[in-house]
Amino acid sequence: MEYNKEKREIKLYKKLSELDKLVLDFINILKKHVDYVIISGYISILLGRSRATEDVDLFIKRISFEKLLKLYEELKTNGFECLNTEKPEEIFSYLNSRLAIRFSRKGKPIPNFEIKFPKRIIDEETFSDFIIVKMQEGELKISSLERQIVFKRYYLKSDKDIEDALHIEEIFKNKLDYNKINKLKRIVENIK
Amino acid sequence: MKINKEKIFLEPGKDNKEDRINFVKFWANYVKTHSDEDWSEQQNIIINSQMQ
Repeated sequence: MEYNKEKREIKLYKKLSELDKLVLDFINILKKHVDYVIISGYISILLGRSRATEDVDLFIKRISFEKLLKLYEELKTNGFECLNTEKPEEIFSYLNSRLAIRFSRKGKPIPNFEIKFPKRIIDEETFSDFIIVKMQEGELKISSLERQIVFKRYYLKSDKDIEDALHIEEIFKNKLDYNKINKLKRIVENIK
Repeated sequence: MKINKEKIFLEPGKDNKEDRINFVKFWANYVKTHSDEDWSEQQNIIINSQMQ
């Protein structure tokens, strides 16, 4: 694993898990239609954490209904289904109501992709504070390591989340921006 | 973690929580000091078993 902080890039030479392959399949469709950033637990797993997960969380930028419809059709054609509804109008309505929707392989609800529009300014900022993880088989856009640590350690705070944060802290110990962590920490501590 | 020459040993935790934290640190050290191919092969046993 090689992290180039300046280039905002991690090169990974791992053997892909079935989860990594599924994520690449899904993201390769998604990114044709809308900008996205992967957030939360899958990032730690992608970077080596020894646990499984039932979902992969991601933000997508706000899009028109027409674009969403094209995305939905392509996902459907490629064997994915929405766990919340079969009606694209309802998917659009859920997203605009600040609710998350979930997609999975048809008939296999686990693992699934939890997709939402960003709600707060700090969520919007994720789109300009990201890292590209490059693997031989493809690329994934993830939120910055500092942002990931702060949300896990100071906002979500479950044992699992704190362990996820710790994993990233240990792996990238000497390459983290601790001023950024402190700044983001102050912001998330004020989120109600 | 106890370091004995080149080998690193996992420190047992006083309770389940501390034990888990110690293992996260131990495994992170393993990831840092071994090739991606090596650690991912082990990690995939856990992840792939969930998906079968």
